[in-house]
Amino acid sequence: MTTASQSGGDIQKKIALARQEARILYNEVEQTKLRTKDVSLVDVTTKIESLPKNYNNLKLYNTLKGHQTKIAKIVWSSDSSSILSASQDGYMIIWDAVTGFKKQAITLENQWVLTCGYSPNMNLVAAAGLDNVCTVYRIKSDTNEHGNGDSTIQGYQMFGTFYQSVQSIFKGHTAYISDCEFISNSQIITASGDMTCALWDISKGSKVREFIDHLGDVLCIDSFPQKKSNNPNLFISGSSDGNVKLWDLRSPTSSQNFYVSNSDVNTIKLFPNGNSFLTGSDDGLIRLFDFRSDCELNTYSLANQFAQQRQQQIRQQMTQTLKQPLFSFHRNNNGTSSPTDTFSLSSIYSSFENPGVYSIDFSKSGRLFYACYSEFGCMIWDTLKQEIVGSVGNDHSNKINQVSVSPDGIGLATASWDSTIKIYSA
Amino acid sequence: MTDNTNNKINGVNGGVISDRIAVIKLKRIQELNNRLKDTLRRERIPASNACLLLINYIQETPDYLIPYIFKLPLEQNKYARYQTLKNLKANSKNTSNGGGAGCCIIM
Repeated sequence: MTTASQSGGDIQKKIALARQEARILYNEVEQTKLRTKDVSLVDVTTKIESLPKNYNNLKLYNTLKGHQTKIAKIVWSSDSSSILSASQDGYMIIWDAVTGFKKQAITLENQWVLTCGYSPNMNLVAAAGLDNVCTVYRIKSDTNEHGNGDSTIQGYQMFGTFYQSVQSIFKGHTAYISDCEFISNSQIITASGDMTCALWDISKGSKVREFIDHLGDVLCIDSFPQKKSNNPNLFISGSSDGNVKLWDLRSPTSSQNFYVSNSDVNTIKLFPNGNSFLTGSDDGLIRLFDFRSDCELNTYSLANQFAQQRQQQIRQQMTQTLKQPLFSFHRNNNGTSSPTDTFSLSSIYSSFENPGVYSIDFSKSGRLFYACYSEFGCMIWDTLKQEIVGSVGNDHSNKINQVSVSPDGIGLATASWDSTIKIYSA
Repeated sequence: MTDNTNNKINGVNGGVISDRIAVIKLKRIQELNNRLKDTLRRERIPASNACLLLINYIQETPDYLIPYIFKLPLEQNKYARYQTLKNLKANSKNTSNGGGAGCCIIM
């Protein structure tokens, strides 16, 4: 008994010491992070010229109609020629982005799909969702169907056939699959509500590794661009625990952690060169982080933008109608501009308080990024100047839930709850 | 019955279990400390430098979704090219049919 209690006491002492050490180390980490964060991006970009606002630059080229309900997710093919879309009507459709015709429809094993993926060689597609299963389908190549050198419009016929050929069924997650992405022609990563991510091998037909470190549902993943990046073995994940983690495919624990905020990280997107990334959270803020400096470089706030715009408008209105009350219900007061006027205006815009971000994507250079807000459509942000320069997808009749720029950087697609996909280009 | 089993856990095995839990706790904290040390050891560049590298990348990469800076020639835009092709086809059809009559007319 005595030896047991003694060793117990020893352990308690060791625990206390280790805790103290942890506290010291934690403070040191905070200090170093503060030291590296010497500026924010806007401070550096003061000399760079702003882009003109509402420069209505994108033209609608195609509206892809065919799904019966909301679009769950869209993915561009690696060669930017086609788009894969998944919807809870139970189908995935492959569209020709240029002509807008359907190329193939894939009947889903389970209709409750949340996400889909398109392999780099365009031979495989994957769907996953509320059934906790990731299903990989093989698709027919359409080379022979294109006809022989008939380059006229005849060549662009709709040769959509309902087709299904299951390649692999990956079971293992114990909750819904929120996101999936092919990282090569034979490997796919999935993110799940069971707080893990997993790597699956299609040729082996099995799970390769689980990635366990998050303390909440994993909501989104993004993998590093294969060609450009020095590290094709990395991916990042965002979770409802408010953290983003960087993972090495060879290690089951994360190699870098970024605390974002205490709200869900709904979407993440790597900067085109893979050295930084954007996060979109439920609190409506978009943040830019950098891997090399291990800190936040910039914050993009819709509320601030609106406040600035409103202030400018108010100033203009004030100067124009200084002697008249701005609102009729203020006539009972002194009538001239008073603090209550600005207060009432800000209260009108208090509805901007819940503008959760659901999807973001960079333009090819990263100068612009497109962000879908739950209430305010798809905004175009200038990454450098921290300004909204316009919006896209206003032709949709319902919420826009995803925006995606083609790999060649020429096309942009928006997916909406109105069951259509729209394709824009310059 | 339940009292007996509780006593067993607390009394006889209790010491061992709590020791084990303590050991696991200690290991967890040591693991955390190691990770914090790794984080401290990580090479960092100042944010100002990261920003400059970011700006460089942006300025060096052509981006045709910003026509204000980079204009994509019309013949290189596959979307615009297909649209003009379609319009041409439609026009030639119209002229060959003798003006405007498509395959069907809804009155």
